[in-house]
Amino acid sequence: MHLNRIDYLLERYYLQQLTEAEWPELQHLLLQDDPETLEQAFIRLMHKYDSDQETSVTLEDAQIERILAIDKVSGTEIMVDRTMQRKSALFQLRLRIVAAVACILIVCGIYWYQSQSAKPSFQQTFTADFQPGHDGGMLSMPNGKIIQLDNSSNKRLLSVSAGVSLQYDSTQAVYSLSQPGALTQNIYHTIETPNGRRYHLTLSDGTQIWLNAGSRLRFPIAFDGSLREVFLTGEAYFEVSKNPHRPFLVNIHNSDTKIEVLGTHFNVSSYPEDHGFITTLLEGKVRIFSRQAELILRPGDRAISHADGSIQLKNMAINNIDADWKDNYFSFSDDNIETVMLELARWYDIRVEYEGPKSTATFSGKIGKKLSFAQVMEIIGGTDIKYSLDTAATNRKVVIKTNY
Amino acid sequence: METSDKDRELLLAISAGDEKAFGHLYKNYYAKLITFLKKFTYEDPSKADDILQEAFLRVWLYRDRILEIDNFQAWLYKVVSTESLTYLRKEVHAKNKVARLKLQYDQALLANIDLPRAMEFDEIKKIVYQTVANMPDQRRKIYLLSREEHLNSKEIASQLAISTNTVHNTISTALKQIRQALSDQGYPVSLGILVLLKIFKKKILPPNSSSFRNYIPIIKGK
Repeated sequence: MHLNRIDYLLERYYLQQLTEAEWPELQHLLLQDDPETLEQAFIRLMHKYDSDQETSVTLEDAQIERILAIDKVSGTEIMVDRTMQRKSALFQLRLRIVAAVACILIVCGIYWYQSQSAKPSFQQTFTADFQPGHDGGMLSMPNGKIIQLDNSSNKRLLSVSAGVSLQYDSTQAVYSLSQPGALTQNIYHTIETPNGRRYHLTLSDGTQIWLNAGSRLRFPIAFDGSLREVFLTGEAYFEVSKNPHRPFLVNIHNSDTKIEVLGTHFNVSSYPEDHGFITTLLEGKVRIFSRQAELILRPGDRAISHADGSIQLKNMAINNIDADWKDNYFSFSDDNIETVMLELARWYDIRVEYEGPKSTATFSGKIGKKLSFAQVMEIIGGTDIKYSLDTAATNRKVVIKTNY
Repeated sequence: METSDKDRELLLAISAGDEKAFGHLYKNYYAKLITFLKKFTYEDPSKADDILQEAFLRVWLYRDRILEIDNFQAWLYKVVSTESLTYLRKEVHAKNKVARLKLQYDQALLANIDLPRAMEFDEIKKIVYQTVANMPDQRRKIYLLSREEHLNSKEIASQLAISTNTVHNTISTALKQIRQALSDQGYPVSLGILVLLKIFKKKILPPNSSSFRNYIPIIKGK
């Protein structure tokens, strides 16, 4: 007999005997029951199945060592030079940091968000720093009206044209048709995200677009022709709603190459510095075409469209990181310092300069975008990357001293 | 119920920084729980090791206060249950979503729920390292003598010509500083153990969340 329903379901899960109908029920209880009840039920299960007999699975010493090494200062990977004497700790610590490995792959620890009012981290207490970007941007309408989205902390509803309404706040805008077949031909709005801002947009057909920092999207407030056509500068992630009768066309600023979509998820990065643009397909199918070339992308594919109209295909299949920014991460994969800094520059709205020869180190990993600039730098390079900051509002500059 | 005599003896030694005693305690409970946990985490049995590892990391980082726990086994079971339920929520969520075959955000959502455990250790270590480097001279010295040279409080006291009480308090302060730094950096190793009766509630994403804002909860640090 089980004390509660949750006891029963937990045991069924443990024995791998849940029925199809019991899965959703378990999920429901896991979300609804209070943690105390859940934990007590789980502890009862533990007591029922824990074992006092010898098991064949024994704990490896390495696992114990791993914990013991945590608060031990010597012998860690961070300190490469083991030949140094153990005494005069502080001097040594500094020296060793300088000698540390050039490239440290660290995926930022992802923890559930607990409290916004957390104390400032210790780097921030003594370093000049840049704060991360946030949601926002600027919406312009054909009648010359401009909405500063940053300032819209409350949701607002606006009728933008007969039959089309716009609901927006500082995080997202949603266009919807309040009456079908409204006459809206050729009414375009533009959303622009400066450096340090990004925005989420839902078009009237349900298509969702995330606009990365330093980007611009021009789009019709409703689609009534045979084509859904938008114009992009910078980077955006698209989740296009399916409509075989109305293909979705993405025009890239300063490029004759276009992307045609039927219903799919993909990322387009077309920053001017990129020279051409990169399309990464996550789901569905898209066609990229220019006067010279045409290419069909499959999920996992990445296409580089060059300024001359040529298109280069690269299959990345797994490990696709191009759209991680949408979920609030910087993602790097064997990227050099310039690529990394270019991305940081857009988010922290800073200029980057280099002093000395550029490092050949490469960086891989995933870092949360809500961290301050100094925290991100700390994760990327520890103290290996030396840099100085000019936080004056008019300058906002970082100088990377790469001759380490 | 109180801590068993066997555990009490080990905990006493651990509180004085005894690595061997820590190894024993860890091994004992590993043997007791690992079969259960591996079976429970059948979708990804490496999680079983992770769960115990995290629990015992807390034991170690809290060794100066570990004797404050009335019933060690009950405490451990509670910590393990919190972690296991977090794991379970994720699994059940995944299972149900796969079954429903919908919602574009699922992949992203699941990616977020997954914690890259292996990596955390490196970062935790790095934070500890920097904290120690930034300690006042005397505190760092005492800490290193205890941790690196494996001297006990008495030996440290005689070497530095201070009282054992001072040594004891200093080590405790050093550990506290380390925990604080970890917690400031988004590794709240402390919470489970500080609040022994209340439980650390982890927030979970609202189901079907779809806006940008809902992805923000996974930040680290500030």
